[in-house]
Amino acid sequence: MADREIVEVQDLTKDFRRGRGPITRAVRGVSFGIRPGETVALVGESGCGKSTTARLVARLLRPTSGRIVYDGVDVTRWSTHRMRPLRPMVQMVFQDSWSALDPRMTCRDIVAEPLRVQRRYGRAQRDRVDELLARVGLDGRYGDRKPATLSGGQRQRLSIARALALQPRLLILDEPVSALDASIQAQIVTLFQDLQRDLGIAYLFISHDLAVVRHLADRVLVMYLGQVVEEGLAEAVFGAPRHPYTHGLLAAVPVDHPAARGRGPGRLAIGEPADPMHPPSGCVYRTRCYRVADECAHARPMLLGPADHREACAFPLPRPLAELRGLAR
Amino acid sequence: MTTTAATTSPAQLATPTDGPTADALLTVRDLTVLFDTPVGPRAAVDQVSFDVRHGEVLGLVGESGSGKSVTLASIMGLTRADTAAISGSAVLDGVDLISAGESVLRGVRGKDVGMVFQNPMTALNPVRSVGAQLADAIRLHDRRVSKTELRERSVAALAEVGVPAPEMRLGQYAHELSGGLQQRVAIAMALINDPRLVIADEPTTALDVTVQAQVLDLLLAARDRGTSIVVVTHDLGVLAEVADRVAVMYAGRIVEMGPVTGVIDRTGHPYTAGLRASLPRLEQRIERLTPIGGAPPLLVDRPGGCAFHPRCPIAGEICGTERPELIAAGADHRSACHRVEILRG
Repeated sequence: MADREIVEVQDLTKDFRRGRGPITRAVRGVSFGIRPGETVALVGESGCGKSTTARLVARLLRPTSGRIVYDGVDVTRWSTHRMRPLRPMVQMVFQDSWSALDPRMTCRDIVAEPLRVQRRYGRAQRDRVDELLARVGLDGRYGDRKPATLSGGQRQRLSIARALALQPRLLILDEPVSALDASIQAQIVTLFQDLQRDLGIAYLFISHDLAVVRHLADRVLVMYLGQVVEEGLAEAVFGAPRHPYTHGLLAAVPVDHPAARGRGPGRLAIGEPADPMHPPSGCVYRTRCYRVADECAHARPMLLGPADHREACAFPLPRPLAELRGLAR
Repeated sequence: MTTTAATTSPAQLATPTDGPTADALLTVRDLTVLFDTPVGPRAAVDQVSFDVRHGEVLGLVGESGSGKSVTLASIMGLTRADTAAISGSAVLDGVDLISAGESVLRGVRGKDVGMVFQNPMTALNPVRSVGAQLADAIRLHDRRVSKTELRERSVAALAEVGVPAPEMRLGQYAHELSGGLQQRVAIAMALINDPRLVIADEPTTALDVTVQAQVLDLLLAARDRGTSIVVVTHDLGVLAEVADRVAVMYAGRIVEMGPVTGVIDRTGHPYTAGLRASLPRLEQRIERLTPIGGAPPLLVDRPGGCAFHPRCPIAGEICGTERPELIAAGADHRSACHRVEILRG
């Protein structure tokens, strides 16, 4: 089946515990799948569990419970050794490309390294490495240079070339443009779109920049304190958010014209996330929610609704964002 | 189009090379900062002139290496004298901060001018409690404050910036606070002596969007109490939200300056236009962004003429040879571009 999910996760949970201290439930009951050629985005504030989820999807971490399925095969409990032949399928690009690149290697060696590790590097691959460098916008001159001589944008291009070397079907992009200047950020975002169009590659995109997410994502999952509180098609979630948290996140994004100042609904996501070691009872968002009611403390709301847009909230928002934005502060 | 009306506007007759304008708190003129490089001295900041007016938020926008942070660091005497040669003037209340000695600057920093940085840990001491640091900030400029008053003012300063349970925070250390709370404490410290000017260098870059909104609100509240604010950022979106006026820097120079609405609606420089086109929008999905090609030039490798010309989609022959001056381009609006008429169609 061509359209089968590349990776599917079911009811994923990950707990961390330091010594005998309290348990941090970093990820709780997260389920989603990623199909060929699509972009799924995880959004939420620092500490919401989006990067932990990404590392679980890459099987760099083993979940506390739940299932991770690669192309129909359950790999949840597979050892590092057993995972190795599957690693090429899912590759990662991080925000801080500087720390992910060996300063003593040339750009060509950096891109060739995954091929060597997977014992796929031969005479024929030398051309392939140059092709990859060219594909991400680094021409032949760069092959013999070291990462220290590259700008931030060029280093990110290099990281992308290396991630592409093993022809992955899924790239996990963890804040890949957050550290870049605006003009360079737009270049890299456009590169991601071109690569997806030409190679049919899928992305799991993690970012706190909601405008970039809206630009790239087909589907969005909004996470808060380890849980998915809203998910669906990007157009639906951004156009008509139903969870007050999503609404608060969107309302906090700066306006793009001064004339729109003060028209927004104000600061809806007040304060900061609750302590993940001591999450509130019932709905975890209730301590910051502007629509909170008594029953929110009792029952934890489940994700309800059709797959193209659902939310975990007892009192979802009734109206589209444009209308909500029109309300006075 | 409406330029005829604009050219007669009195607001623009005061050029930045004139004397200080009446409503300016800080007047910067011809600020130049030369750094020693392997190929000789190079100007990280190149003849920059601007005013910070009373009670305004001035946004200084530009990419890495544009000189925006060096501009402010030089004004505050925070560049190392052995590597940087600074010329020009920056007059705050009749005192030129550029020629002033360290003892004068020490009296100005934290008293007349509060500073907020991207990483709050640059401002916070990891081994002193929040209360001790706030008390230091007060006592540095006024030794006679009593212990009770120190405590009261510290608690009030924390409450002012929305720190929950301010009394308890006095005994805490920076590492016990979240990033958002650290930045609030840093802002409380910057505001504690009621400065007339606050310089905020990328104050929200490291923060989540929710905390960013809260921090921007704090700066606006300070502005509403009469404090002038300079916000340095690479994010044009932040300026659309908070700035009254904007100065756009590229390769060490201001290439456009004007009211934020004017700069966005009647953009006077192709670099500003490029920055705008690079930004994805939240309100509507654009199929494709239009990035600016290439990358900002390195300090040692700046192009002649207009420094932006190799990346400029509308550059002409003159752009490679003649450096454009920052001249009037509308009401209270200036641009340094030979091709501004073409840009505005």
